Amino acid sequence: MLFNSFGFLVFFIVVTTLFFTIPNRFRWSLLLFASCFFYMFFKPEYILILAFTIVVDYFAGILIESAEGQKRKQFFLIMSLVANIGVLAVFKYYNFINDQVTGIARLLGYANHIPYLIWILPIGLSFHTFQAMSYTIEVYRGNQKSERHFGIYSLYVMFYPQLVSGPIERPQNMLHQFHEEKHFSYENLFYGLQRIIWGIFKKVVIADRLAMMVDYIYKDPYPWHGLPILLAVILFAFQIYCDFSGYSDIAVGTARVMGYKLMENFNYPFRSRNITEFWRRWHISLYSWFNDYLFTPVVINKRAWGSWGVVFALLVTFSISGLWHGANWTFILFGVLHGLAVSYEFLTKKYRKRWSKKLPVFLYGRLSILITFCYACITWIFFRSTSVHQAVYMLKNLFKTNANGQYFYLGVAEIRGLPSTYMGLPFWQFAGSLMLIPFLFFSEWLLSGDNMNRFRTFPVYLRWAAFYIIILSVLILGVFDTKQFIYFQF
Amino acid sequence: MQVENILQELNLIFRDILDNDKISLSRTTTADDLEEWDSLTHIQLVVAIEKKFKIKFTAAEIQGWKNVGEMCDTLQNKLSPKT
Amino acid sequence: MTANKRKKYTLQIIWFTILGSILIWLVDGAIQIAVRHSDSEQTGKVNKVMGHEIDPGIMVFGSSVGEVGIDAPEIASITNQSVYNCCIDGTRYMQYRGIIDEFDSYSKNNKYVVMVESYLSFEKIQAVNSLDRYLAYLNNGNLYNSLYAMQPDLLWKCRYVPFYKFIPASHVYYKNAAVGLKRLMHHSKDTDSLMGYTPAYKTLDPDLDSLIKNTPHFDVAIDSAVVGNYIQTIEKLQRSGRKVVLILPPVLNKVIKQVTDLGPLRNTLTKIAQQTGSVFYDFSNSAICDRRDLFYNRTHLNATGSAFFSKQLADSMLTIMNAPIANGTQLSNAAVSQEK
Repeated sequence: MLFNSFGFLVFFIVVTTLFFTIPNRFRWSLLLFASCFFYMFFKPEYILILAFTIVVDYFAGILIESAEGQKRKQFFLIMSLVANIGVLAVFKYYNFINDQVTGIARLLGYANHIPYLIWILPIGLSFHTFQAMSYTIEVYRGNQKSERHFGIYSLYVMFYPQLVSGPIERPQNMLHQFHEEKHFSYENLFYGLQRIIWGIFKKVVIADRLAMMVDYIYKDPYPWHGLPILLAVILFAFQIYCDFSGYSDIAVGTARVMGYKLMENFNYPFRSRNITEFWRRWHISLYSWFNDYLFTPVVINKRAWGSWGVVFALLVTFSISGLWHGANWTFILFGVLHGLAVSYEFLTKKYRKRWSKKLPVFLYGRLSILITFCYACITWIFFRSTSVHQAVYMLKNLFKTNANGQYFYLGVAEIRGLPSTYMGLPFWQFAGSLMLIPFLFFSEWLLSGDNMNRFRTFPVYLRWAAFYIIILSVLILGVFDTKQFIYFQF
Repeated sequence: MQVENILQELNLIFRDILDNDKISLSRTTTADDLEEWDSLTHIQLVVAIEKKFKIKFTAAEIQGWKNVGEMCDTLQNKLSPKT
Repeated sequence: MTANKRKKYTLQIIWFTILGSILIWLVDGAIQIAVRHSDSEQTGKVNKVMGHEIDPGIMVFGSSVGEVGIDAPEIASITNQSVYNCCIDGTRYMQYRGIIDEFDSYSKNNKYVVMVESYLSFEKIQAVNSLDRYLAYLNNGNLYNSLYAMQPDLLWKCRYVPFYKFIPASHVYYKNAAVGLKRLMHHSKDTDSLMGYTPAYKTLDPDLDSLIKNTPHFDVAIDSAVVGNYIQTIEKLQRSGRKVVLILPPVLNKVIKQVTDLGPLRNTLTKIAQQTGSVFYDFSNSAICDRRDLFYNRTHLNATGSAFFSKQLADSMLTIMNAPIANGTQLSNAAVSQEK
């Protein structure tokens, strides 16, 4: 079920109402049943894959905890990790790996007879697999007691607000919440609903409207040069931010209405002054996962190499996290570019600190933010492109003029009397969609920190008016033709 | 070695690695309290501590620390092993 | 939480929901009214019929083929009747059936209904085209029934689930609301001198022939249920005292022949004409069909071609209009090929 669908609205109201009307001891089964229903809306048979990894990890957790000796604990941990990563590898990376085998075989003069799979990737596989792995790893590290209640453990993996696109939670945060009795609170209700509405607005109005222009260029970038490419690249940054943070807002809000607190996934990422900071503000749940479970063990293991050990660990971590996003070289390159940037920042930290003292504070700060944003946009060219070739083309043509020497040309050439368009849209739609970006900045400024508290002191009718305007905007300006969340395919 | 001495030595190491003369560690200091202390500099701190005290930590020990106090305790145990 | 606070919050939620629903309902209604007053493009045509604004002597229904091919002013001047070209782009019989029914229900002056058909006319369609044009009229039985038959789930939700219709509504709907609002504010009069006709000042794509080579062959789809409904509509119009004229306009025959065979279409229309006693004019073999300068693609006439064809059509209409009427089934003409 998609979050931005009418069906989900009904689902959410029904489940939440039932949640608070039935006695506490039945609530976990209600949530589990609802989560199964939610998941099976896509492809029912894939619930079997989920069931498989849940059973494996449930028993692995118990076995790891009760095992005597490090070696036995390690054995069960590895069994669990292999099962999880194995499922991920088969469904997500099999064809990609097979592609590389074909390429290598061709170089050597052989044909590759290994068949390709045509299975569709199960929804949210990358997310809940990682959440399940964090459980077994934390049990292994002794930070978490194994969960004996099979139903609650299953709920931990399948909790519907975060099942499909995160945030990727930790057992220390979630498991105990499922054991607690949650009481209805107006605070939670209002906060949750506000997050949901704002998330829907970001996704359905901002992200999907920007997507219309971005997709128009990316679906075939080769006829374009100059400004349209530049705009597509910049707009994509805001599209993916609104898409994914909007989704996370809906997830957090949905859980909060019932009283569950999920972790935040975003923290004003475009305020980052360097790429290292960026990854503490963007998709926080994923990068803290990679930090705790991949980067830290590797960097500890290689600490004898000094700074180069850190660089090695960074490149490994970022390449794999890039690959997590999808089975394509573009995603790996995306990761590598970020790994290189963070490595560069790490190696030159003292040098850059000296520079920062030389320049006036406000200039250095703003320049850093701008440079960080531009770099992120460039890496997103790889993220969004379907092939490395396409990404390189876009990079090369960011500042080139077209065949007529024009840089600012945004329309379709006058072919057979078609009216000229601006990145596929009529002028007013184009201009209006661009206006959404300053609106986004303004709204985020309004919603941050103290401003939110001030907003709460406004008279009721003003606050209600603001909500009515947002709801009407969603209804009128929203794009509703089943556009999935970008991170859905992961 | 006494705990206070350990804390002082750590303070010197932190000031050096994190490039900040104003650092003043206490047992309850965590990474959230110091801006420069992140997962990248953390390993540099660990390496510097290992070098200074001529000991080696295990991965489990490094990952288990929640604050400076626990680092001190582990250090102390390693320096004066219980008989 | 104190009981008072709980009561306060519960009341707040109830009031918020009630006020919000009323507000959205008002906005929805206002937009709907504004859309109905638009005279822009296709929505304007739908509005004219659904608003009972037009009642011409000759009414033309069809898709874009008719919209660009029937020069209404030309026909009006030759036949001396009021004419309106109500052909709607992208819309075929199955969908505009509701509009015909609506027209039939109120029209008093209309004597002749011309239906312009093409090889897509009798295909069973399962998706409504451009729902935006019709969203303001979902409570109208005639319109709703014809659209419901195509996409029952969507249409039911749009009509009966509160505010659901905001979901399929696109910028076309809102643009028309803006146009309609402007018209309302300025009390504008209808200024369409072309009577619904949209001349296409374009010429053929020079790549047409090479493009056609890559087009796969297809069979003209003739769905018997659609044909059955078609016949019913004709008979209904005839019961109201109107004469129905079926038209197959000129097409670029040499090109069309490479991808399909129009034979089944001609046969179907011939049979329908025979069965209902209506007139069928088949222009798809006429001399116009060989003139590439009169088309802008293989099925659509350009402005020059349309003027040509419309004159021929008007002359044919004159023969019907001047012929003595016996008892309605008089003109059991089969295909009358116009070779001029």
